[in-house]
Amino acid sequence: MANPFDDEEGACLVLVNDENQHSLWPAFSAVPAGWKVVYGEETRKNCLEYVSAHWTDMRPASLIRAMGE
Amino acid sequence: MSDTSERLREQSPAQNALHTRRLEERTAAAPGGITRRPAGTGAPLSFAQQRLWFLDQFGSGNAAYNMPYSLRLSGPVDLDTAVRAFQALVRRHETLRTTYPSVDGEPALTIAPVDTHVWEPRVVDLRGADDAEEQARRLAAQDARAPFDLGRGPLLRVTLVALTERETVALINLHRIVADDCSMTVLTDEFCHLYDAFRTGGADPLPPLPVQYADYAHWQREQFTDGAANRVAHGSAYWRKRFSGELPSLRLPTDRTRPTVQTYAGRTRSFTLSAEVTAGLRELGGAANATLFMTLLAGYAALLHRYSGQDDIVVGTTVAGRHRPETEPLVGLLANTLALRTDLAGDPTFRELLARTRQASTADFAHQDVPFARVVEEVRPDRDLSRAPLFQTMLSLHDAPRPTPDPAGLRVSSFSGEGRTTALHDLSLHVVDEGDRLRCAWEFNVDLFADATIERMAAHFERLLLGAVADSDLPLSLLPLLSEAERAELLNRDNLISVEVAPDTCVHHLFEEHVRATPDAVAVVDGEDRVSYRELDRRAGIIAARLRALGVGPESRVGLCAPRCPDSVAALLGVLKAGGAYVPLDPAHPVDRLRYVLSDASVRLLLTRHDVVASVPGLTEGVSVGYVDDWLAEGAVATQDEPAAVPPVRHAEPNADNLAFLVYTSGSTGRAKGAMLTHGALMSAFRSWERVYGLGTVVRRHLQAANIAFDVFTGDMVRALCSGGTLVLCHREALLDPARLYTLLQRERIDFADLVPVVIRRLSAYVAEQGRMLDNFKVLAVGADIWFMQDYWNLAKLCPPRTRLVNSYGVTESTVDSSLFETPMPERGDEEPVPIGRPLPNTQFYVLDNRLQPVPFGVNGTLYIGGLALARGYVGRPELTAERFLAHPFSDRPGARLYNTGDLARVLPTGDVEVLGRVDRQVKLRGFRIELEEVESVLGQHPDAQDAAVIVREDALGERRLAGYVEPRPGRSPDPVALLQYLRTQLPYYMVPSTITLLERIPLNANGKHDRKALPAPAPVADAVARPAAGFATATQERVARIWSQALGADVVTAEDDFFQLGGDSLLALRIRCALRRAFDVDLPLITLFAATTVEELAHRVDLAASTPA
Repeated sequence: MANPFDDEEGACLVLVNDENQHSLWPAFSAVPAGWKVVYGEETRKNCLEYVSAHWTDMRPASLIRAMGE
Repeated sequence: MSDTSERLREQSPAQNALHTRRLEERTAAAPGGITRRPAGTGAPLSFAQQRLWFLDQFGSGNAAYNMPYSLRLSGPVDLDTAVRAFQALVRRHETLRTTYPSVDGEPALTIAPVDTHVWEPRVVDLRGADDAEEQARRLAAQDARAPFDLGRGPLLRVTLVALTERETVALINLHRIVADDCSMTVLTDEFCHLYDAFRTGGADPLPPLPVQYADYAHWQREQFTDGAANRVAHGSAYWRKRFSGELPSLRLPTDRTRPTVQTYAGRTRSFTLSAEVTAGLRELGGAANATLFMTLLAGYAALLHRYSGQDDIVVGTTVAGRHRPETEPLVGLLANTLALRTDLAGDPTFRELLARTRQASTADFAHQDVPFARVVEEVRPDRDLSRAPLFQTMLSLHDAPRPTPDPAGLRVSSFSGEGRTTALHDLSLHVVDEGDRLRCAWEFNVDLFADATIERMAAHFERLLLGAVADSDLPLSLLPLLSEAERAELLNRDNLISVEVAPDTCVHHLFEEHVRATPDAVAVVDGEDRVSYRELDRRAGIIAARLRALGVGPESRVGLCAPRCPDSVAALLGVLKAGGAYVPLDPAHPVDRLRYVLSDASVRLLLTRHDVVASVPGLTEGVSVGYVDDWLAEGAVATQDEPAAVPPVRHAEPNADNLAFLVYTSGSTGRAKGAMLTHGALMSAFRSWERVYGLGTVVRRHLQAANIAFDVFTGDMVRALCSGGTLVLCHREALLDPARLYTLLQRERIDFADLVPVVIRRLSAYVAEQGRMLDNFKVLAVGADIWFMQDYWNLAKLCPPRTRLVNSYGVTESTVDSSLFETPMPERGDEEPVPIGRPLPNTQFYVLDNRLQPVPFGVNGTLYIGGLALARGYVGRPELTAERFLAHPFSDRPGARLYNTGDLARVLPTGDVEVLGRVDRQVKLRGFRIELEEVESVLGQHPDAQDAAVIVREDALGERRLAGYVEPRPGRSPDPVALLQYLRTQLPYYMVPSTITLLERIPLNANGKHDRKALPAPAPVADAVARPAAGFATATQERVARIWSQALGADVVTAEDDFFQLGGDSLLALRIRCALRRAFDVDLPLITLFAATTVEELAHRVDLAASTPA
């Protein structure tokens, strides 16, 4: 009951929103509005590795733009 | 449930079908039927009777095992004839003349001889009374609740109530020790025949009984005593195997705190399943070759699984136990109880669950002859006085009542009295098959459940069944429970309230507005030191300018390691003014932790003071440092001499998405994690507080009590300084000394404080003791930990009625505070936690299951938080952030996120949320609740231990024991026996593992958590070493031990030996109670023997009782 990702075997997705924020997501659940799948279905572990490798700047995309970078 | 169907509750088509089959097998297998017991043989109690007798001794005087039912006799009744008919029944059935007195703590069965036995029904004549019907109902209710005396009898009570010339009611009540539901049918039928015969002057028309109940009991004893025939041994072995491993006890969420000793006050509510569901269930069962009972069992287990979150559900049911022809006409307790265990692991589809249920219950029913009392003895479930053993819920299926043979001139029907007012279990579902519909009577314990909860549960049951019928290939987790209206209510409740947050305003801008508006108002009080808004702003300006000059701007992290003082407040404001984000650090924390935070947060510059650096060696190694004390001293000189010494540097203003501050909280993996909070989130939090607390209007004088490294510090600061109020610093010493704290509160006329429960408890006690009041508070918020209604009421008594007393709940990840509770709930028990209430504006609460779907009111789930106050995430931990801050499935803002708090919570029917703690790892062992984490944590604190794990394992004898595992620190090799000794000094004995196994490394899973499944079998510990013969500290202990040894036939060697571990049971407990009475002349309540289960504890109780004059 703790966590939708408790099942180590469960299939996971990685979602990203317009701000490049990443979310782990259980494959059984519909993808919420404003998010798109960028990785998966994969194991939870692989999804987390994907996130670590790809979400290197945790600032929202609009902030990165506003700060002129 | 009506009284008529009550009589038939043990008959179910499913069971009947099985009975027939079993009967055929039995007739082939059974060597001989039941015959009269040899003359001169003492009449024994059956197993079930013995169990009931014990339960009666344990909780005597309650009516839980009464079996009241009533008949309405329409037509002219001859009362004398009716009396004679009942007397004939008493002569006919030995059970109705039997009593069960206690002799030396054992039941002795006494059958009164027919010739001398006197039994009279009561006759009440209400003919002519206006409210005869009403009076009869009252009599029925009274009689139903009146207890029986098993030792003196009689155990059948009949009251004949004449309502009118043509209406008579017979109130009949039996103790379950002499009857079961079939017995009631037997009695009714036989009464009708006897009445009929006697009325016309005939003799007793009933054929003589071939055997009596005691003959059955004698036969049963021979069959099922240890060492008897294989067939039976096989039956016992079956149940032992069926209930091996950890036994689940049903953890349905309750509305009220479970009493420590089970109670039996109950109520029954009936609901009818629609024809659609009924037909669907029959079809589903038919296709799976399962009976209706099995189909209902699968559905009921699925409901309980969804409500409790448990995968292993045990449901009891009753079987008639009358498949031998000679037992059919008996009045007696022949019914047996079966515990049906259902495996719901792995989120099966309903179809799969039904297949599992069919297979398991077919095997279970095949072993239905083993008396339930024997099964309990075999299985030895954990002792838990608050619950029935083995199962806490029942399911039964009955046929619709069949017509009674009406005696001439009379029509016999049921007279509905008050309805059942008892419940033997937490919850029972009695289904009556009415053909095209199924009537469900939900019998529930009123000390656990409210009516409304049962009503919701009944609706969820129907919806779940409808879902299963519509698509039996859906996994259980996807079967619908909620109606559309309920779902909308749960999702929206208090989640739609918002306050406006201007996009680019930051908290330091609000502070500056107050500097301009009221420059001379006091901003910060620290003892005698009072700093005005103007002065605080001046100091903050100096710091901001220095920081800007050093390149600090948006997204720069600046540490502050300094004690609570006005300059620290100025420093934090200075960081914000410079556009940076502050990382507060408590100088009292270990230097390793401080250095970890500085490095983890990529702190660019550490603000501190010379005295702090001197007292925390190593703090500044490898970090750039700014000395606030120097800067302010220099700035003070500079402003006097040369106002423009610090040139204004053009700088970027932070926007709402830039960081304002970072706060570190401990992580489950042992590594602290830093939550990144933005200006937008902090502004949203401030606007919510402003709205709900009336900041700047109602409240003005704020106590600052929280540690600087804690997010509540920021809450205190922002609430005061952004609303033009005064922040009064309260140092730790004053916080923990209620006299000083009270003086400070009074002197400064504090009207707002956010305190932790431990401080509140001390303060309440002090103020109450002094006979004073907390009379200045407008708002007193208590939060950060679970506190209880008792504390709440104690506090409420000390505050004037207009004081707002609130429980504030918050997670750092959603900026300090997320909800508040302030609804008075007088019905809530003192020992229940104060709810966390409802979300603040701009914040949303959801209690979800692990499918991310809302759970029903009252059902436990995980608390998720959405809204504008969410953190950006965890610094340097994108993977953890992605796992805890999820895509928001319910938001109307596309791309919004939802934070998983990991807190176990539920929505109460009032709409308030209650947090029940972390999702824990609690186990029950021998009746004790044990937090494995607690044992692990104590074990892990041993100086030789690097890491520790504790699990429950079965030993070679199938006994469940705690097994401890220790990964020693490098270079250490602790002695497991010494580790056990250490644990004994730290923990109660039942929490001390039986074994400690040293491992080079404790296995971890991919998640970095202990991989408990990969732990090896425990290394044996020499028992003699592990359990030193401690001997006995007192003479009482020694004598108690001797009494135990005699009763148990086992050696009792230490004061810590446990009665139930040594093989004690309920009957032995009774014997021991008698022995204690003789030995010490004390009369201990039986319950004491269940509460004090070790020699030491029991001896203590004996000493106490002996020293208290009677």
